[in-house]
Amino acid sequence: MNAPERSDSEARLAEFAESFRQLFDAQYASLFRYLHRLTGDADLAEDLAQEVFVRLYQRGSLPDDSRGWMATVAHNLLRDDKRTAKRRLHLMQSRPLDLGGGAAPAADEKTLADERRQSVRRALAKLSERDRSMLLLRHEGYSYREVAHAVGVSEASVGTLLLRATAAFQAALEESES
Amino acid sequence: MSGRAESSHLTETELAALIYAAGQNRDIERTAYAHLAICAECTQLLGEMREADGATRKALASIDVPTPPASAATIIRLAQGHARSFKLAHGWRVAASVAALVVVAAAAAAIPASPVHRFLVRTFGAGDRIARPATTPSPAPVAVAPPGVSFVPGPDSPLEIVFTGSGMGGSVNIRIVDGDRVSLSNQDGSATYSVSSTRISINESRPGVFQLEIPRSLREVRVRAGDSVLFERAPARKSSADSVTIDLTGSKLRR
Repeated sequence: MNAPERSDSEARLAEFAESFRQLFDAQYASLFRYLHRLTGDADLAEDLAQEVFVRLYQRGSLPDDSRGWMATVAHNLLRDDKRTAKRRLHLMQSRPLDLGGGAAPAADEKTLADERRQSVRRALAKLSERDRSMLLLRHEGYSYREVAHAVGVSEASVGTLLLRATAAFQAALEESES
Repeated sequence: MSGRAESSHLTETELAALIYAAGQNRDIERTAYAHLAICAECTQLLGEMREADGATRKALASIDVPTPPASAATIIRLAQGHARSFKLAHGWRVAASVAALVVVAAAAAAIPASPVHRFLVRTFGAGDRIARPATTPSPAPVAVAPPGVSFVPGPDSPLEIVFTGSGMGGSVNIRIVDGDRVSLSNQDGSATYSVSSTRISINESRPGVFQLEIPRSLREVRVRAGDSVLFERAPARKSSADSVTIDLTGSKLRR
């Protein structure tokens, strides 16, 4: 490789690294939050979010639909590991109490907040995998196109499926709290 | 959608567009709002759906935890070291498989009544060579590195090694070394690991002896088994021994 080619290559790499940093700064927290809501496991969500960005960097270029791509990769990572799936289910059903964060509230408030979190976790666990992902992606601000890409449905069906997922979640939450 | 008769009620697609995709399709919104102006039933339905959406947002926010700190620089460093770590781990597996095959084949051939032995005698007719193990050259020893993980952490990033597997036992030999890589391995290969830039999680393992090497330059390291902190190397603690053994069963330190 001669000097001008190397210079072009270095410039492209620097440009990609800068785009990657911007995307990371804009999307890391959102991806972590989505994965934490999805799995109920903060450690797993952190590992997955970092692995997704590692793979994105190793890809060497940003996909057109970066957020849809990242959600798809995260879903695949989750699916690929059966042990992770077992662990996730166990956490979602049995250990919702360790999911709290922020400043320590008073004991009664904490109990209520813990009960609320358990109810939300139970309601989410009752949804189908697709409904759960769609609902959580929607509440991270994903567009119809990005949601469609991430869960593998047609863009035209996203709105209707989201309405039904929301209704199913509310029904499950009501049942869980009663 | 703009051709829809104003007298027919809104479809789920139109209602969803008003809730989830506001501002993205002006045509649908214009005709939908024209209908809502004259239809109390659809207005009420839209109100209920928006309420459910708001309640869902609030419920989901209640399970959030603070986002752990992370930086693009750390991810890039991890991405650049990732392929090397994977290749190394993959190499260990291949080497271990080859070694295991050599050992099994040699053992099978050395047993006089074994099918492998009989096959070799039949095929080569050189029973003498096979039947006299004392003159048979032993297979060359194959150096096999134990399975594990290895990567270069950021010098300023705290690192946590967390044993999360149930039924964990055995021990961890910790060595402070002069290199720049963190390495964790166990001899029997039963452990599975999850690795990020700031954490190594040991998810499943039989009781065994782990070897952990920590670069001297890494100032903050903590080893946990579940919630119990078994080892900590922090900037405030200047005197960390170069070699420490932790008992994972009883959480005891041996020096």
